[in-house]
Amino acid sequence: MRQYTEKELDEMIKAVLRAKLDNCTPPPAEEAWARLKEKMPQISQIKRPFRPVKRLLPGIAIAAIFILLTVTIFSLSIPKTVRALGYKVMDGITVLLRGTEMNLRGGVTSDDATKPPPPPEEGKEIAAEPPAVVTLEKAREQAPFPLKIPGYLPEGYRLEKVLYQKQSAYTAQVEMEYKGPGGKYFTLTQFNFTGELGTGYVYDREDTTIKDVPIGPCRAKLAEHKSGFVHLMWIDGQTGLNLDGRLSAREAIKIAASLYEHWDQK
Amino acid sequence: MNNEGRNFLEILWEKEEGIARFLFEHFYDYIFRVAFFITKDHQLAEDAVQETFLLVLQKCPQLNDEQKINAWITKIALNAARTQLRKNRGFPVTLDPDLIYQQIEKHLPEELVVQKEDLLAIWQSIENLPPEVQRTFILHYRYEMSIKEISAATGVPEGTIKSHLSRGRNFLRRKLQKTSCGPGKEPKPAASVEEVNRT
Repeated sequence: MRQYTEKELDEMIKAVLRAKLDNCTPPPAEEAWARLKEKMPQISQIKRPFRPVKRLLPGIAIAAIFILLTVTIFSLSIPKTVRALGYKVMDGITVLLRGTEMNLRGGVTSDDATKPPPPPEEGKEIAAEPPAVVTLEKAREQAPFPLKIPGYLPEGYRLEKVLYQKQSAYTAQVEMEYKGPGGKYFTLTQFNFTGELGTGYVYDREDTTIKDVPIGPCRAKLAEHKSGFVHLMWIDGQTGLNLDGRLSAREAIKIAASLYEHWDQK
Repeated sequence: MNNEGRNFLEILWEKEEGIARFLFEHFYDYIFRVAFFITKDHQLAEDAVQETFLLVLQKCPQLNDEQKINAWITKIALNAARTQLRKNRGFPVTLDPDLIYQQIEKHLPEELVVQKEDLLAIWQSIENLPPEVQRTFILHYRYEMSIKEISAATGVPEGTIKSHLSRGRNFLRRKLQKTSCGPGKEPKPAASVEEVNRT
């Protein structure tokens, strides 16, 4: 390893932090301000505790009645069979952030009010533990979800490293890094979650294409960057899966599909 | 975040109207970047910005030391971002290492030659630092605050700030050594936060 002086290390840290903090473009302040303004009554109460509340009372009452009616009508109009499904995977919604930058939103939402609540995670911070290098067997033992292993690997690929990270009392993430020939590689990440899940994937529509692809019983989103970097993501029950790296989209899909072949055989 | 020689809180509370707007315009960009540093997600960062400002505007009257406002807001923003991350566990986005390298390289002095994998190791490891060390790092390395200034701003003794910097650097050095193990060599277990705190 090259030995860096304190000054060199400082410059490296500075450059990394600058890259991390500066290389993102905040959305226009006006939009964010407009959103905040909607919440302004909460702020105004700090300095003027009574006046705004009093002034807003008729509005609040009307809004409350409207929300109550909407919720009632909506809940009556939805068939019971749909609500009985419990958690459902949301379709990816593409949101234009600015210019050509897009955000693909998705996740899992609960549509069943009778479903038991998830374990009480509220109030617990994400464990600050960094990921630990473990064996595949240990990851399988420790993971609070059934870990999927690829049944297919393109020729020359091998498992390089497995990282295990406990994220909370009930959730964890496992990263499996595979190396292939000619600088190709991919990482398969699996994590579980409790309750609902919100996901986001930011990309530039000028250099990235998004496709829907079936992976086993699930529907995945495939993001292909023109540099050859692919990102495949999907949700299977209470587990999120993510396969990304520098390999062809066809190979990525084949590897992902093999997670289910292998799983079925077990 | 230039106060142009005026007392920030004086400006802030000078007139009731526009207080929130002034504060928002002053810190919006900074808070978003700090939140994005943690969440890696525009939407979550935006939500964290909202949460941060709501809290900042509620608590601001209690703050009586102008010097502390940067550190105080940094802390609130980091906490809000972590809360968003906990509520909305997103897909872990693995960025293309080449793109990451290009982003970092722009900020390196020209005369400094470093190995790509070393920069990537720092990129990854910096997020595994304990929150208080992360805050010190952001204020020191990104906003170029001196140890004395950070101490005054955070209310943490100068010795502890020095210790944060030293422990953080040691942690990153160890990560760099591990990077040099390379393929085929036995990787050592990753250092834990406790290890950083113990060192």
